Amino acid sequence: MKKRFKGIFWLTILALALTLPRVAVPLPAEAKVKIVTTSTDLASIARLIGGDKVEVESIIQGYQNPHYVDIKPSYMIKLHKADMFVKVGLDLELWSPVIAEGARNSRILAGGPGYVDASVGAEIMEIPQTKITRELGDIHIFGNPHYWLDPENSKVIADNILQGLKRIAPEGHAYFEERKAEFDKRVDELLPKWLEKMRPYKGTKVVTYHNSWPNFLNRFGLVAAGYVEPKPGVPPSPAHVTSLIDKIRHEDIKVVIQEPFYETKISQFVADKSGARLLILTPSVLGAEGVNDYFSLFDYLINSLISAFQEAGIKPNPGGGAPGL
Amino acid sequence: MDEEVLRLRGEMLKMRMDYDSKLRQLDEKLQRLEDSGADNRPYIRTVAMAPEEKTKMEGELKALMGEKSQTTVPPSGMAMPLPPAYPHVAERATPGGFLSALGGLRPGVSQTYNPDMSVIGDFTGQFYNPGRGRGDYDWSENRYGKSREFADRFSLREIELGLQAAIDPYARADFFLGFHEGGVEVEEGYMTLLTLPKGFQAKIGQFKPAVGKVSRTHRPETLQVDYPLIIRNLFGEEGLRDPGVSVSWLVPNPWDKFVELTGEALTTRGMNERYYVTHLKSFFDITPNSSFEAGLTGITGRHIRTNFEAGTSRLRANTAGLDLTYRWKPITQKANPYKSFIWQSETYFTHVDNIDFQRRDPDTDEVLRTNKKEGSWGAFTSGEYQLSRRNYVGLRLDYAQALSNHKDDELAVSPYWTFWQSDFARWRLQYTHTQRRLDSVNPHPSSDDAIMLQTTFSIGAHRPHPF
Repeated sequence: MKKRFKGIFWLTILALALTLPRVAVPLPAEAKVKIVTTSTDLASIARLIGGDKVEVESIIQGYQNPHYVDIKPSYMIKLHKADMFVKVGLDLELWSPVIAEGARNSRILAGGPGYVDASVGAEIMEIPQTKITRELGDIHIFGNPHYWLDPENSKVIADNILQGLKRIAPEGHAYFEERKAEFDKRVDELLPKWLEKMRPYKGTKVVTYHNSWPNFLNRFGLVAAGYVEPKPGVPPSPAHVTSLIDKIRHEDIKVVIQEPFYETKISQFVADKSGARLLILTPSVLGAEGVNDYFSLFDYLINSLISAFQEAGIKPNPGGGAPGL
Repeated sequence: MDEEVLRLRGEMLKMRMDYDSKLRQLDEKLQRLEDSGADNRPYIRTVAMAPEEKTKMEGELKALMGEKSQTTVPPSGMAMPLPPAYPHVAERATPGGFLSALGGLRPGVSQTYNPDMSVIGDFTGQFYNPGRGRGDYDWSENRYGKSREFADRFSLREIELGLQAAIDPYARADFFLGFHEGGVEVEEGYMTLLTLPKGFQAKIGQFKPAVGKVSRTHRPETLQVDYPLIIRNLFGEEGLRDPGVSVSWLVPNPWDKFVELTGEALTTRGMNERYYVTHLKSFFDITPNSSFEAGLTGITGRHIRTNFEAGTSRLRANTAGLDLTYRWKPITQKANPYKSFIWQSETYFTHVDNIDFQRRDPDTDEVLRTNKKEGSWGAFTSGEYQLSRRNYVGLRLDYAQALSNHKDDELAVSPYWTFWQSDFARWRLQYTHTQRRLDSVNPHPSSDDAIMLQTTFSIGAHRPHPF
């Protein structure tokens, strides 16, 4: 019996070792740069910069909550073969280092040539200036990580991806530079148009479920008057919800914004009791139908907001700016 | 022409909004400084403003307003350039930027190189009826006479201190120290070599060997209050953890699936006894919402815990195990985000060499001896369903034969309820009904019921665990 166990033990090892030479297939000489990003937003920007010289895959889907992701070994396989790994950073994806280390790919580990933290140089809001504790909820110590929702920051993200591509595939240097210039030009063309569309609603107060929109609201002149979560990451309590409803009524706030990956019942309750409208908005590419790239994300966000404002009876101010601003 | 006018208007508007935004931020900052202490959000400075700081702030505001007056009314027909793509690199040392993080601009950056530190408290209350139950025969130590762990009382079962960080670009270190009632123990302390070629990774130090899935999870983080019976009977109340070397390999395969083969050589703590572990793990996604994992374990050498009167030892044995895990967690757009299900099952077959058990009958105080080769097995299966954002319910079924005599066995059923106060604090209530046969001592089956309360709470930065 003992011999049988030992035999099984060593045969398992031997059988697996023998599979190595059969399945270890080398990559083609002119393979595309394989980029894995944590989010679909980064994936979209990476495609726009890398063009047909890259293959891009995102770990999470656009409708997923980036804060909470199961560390699946299948994600490690994606990163095992990646040439480049792009992450949002600022501790949004606390799960990502474990996946990267499990991938056994030194190129994409922090400090490796294929490691890109897209947040470097971006305008980050709400950076703690005092000691923080978990009493305050799920505060990100490096600042609010939802910075991709400001189109100006997309140029910084694109630049970080460009630098990574130049390290990984220097032969495509000119091609990537050209595409980056085109990207910047497109942002510079579209942003004024988006701003112009939002101008009549400048200063409009909204309530959001989670504090994930500061960059967007700040860029487009909207104001977060409150949050359904009492503190970031903390589920709403009855006392907080009651107080929020009171505030919405008092300040005549018309729209409550929530991402699709949170339960809607509390926000719907808030909206129903306060007379506001609940607007489900995806903050990411591929999070809703028609939101196929980074630029269409902003078309979608702005059109959805304007429709909601109009349906809620908010009158546009042609001169721009809410009363008192 | 219209396009050009629209573009210019847009650019002007954008600049105006930028400045308005900055002014608004400064106004708000001033207001908050004046109302210091009224707002507890951490990114708002709450200390009282010193007069010189106020003067400086007003100066900044005046400068900004002056700048605004110069730039908001461009000369007719002159295109206003948009702000640069992003400021020059020296100016990119904005809060949160890479430069500021390393450049000493923020308080506490000298802490950057400190490891991630976490402390987990694991409080339990375990109450049995009748009081003897499992305590008559300490299955985990395979002998009579020692009471079960923390029975019929409240206990701070464990404080786990975790220290984790990168050592250098090639390796990371993980230390877990367990503070128990009996003192401090090194739960784990190992270095992982991360940059080995060809899909290899190595671990050196003291660690939980690659045995199944559940026994590798630290006890405060398991799905139930305690480890399944078969784990406790074979490897002790807290599972195996010994010094050794581990090498794992991501096995290439044509299907691009996760297949990992691990081989480990370990010595038992404080003794010159060796055992070897091999584990083959395969994981694949069935759908975006569901996944399946299967693992095979083989162990040979002295790894079965026992405790003779002469002192703690390990029995030489060969053990084979199978672990299966199914997970359903919807991530699709229209599904309820707070529903999930996990099913875990493991079974182990072990064959112990030449057992020389000593059993003391608690009634007669007679020492019973057996000396023979024995094979035995055990298994558990558990399912846990997420009811809502914070509430989970689950059920575990256990079966385990005694090592010394396969006619002696235990059968247990454990329903439980888990409530997550937050991501960092968890409450659990578990009921366990156990039926056991000890034919070698007492022909009448016995049973007991246990109520277990567990509260687990953590502070600090604890790395998430792989699925």
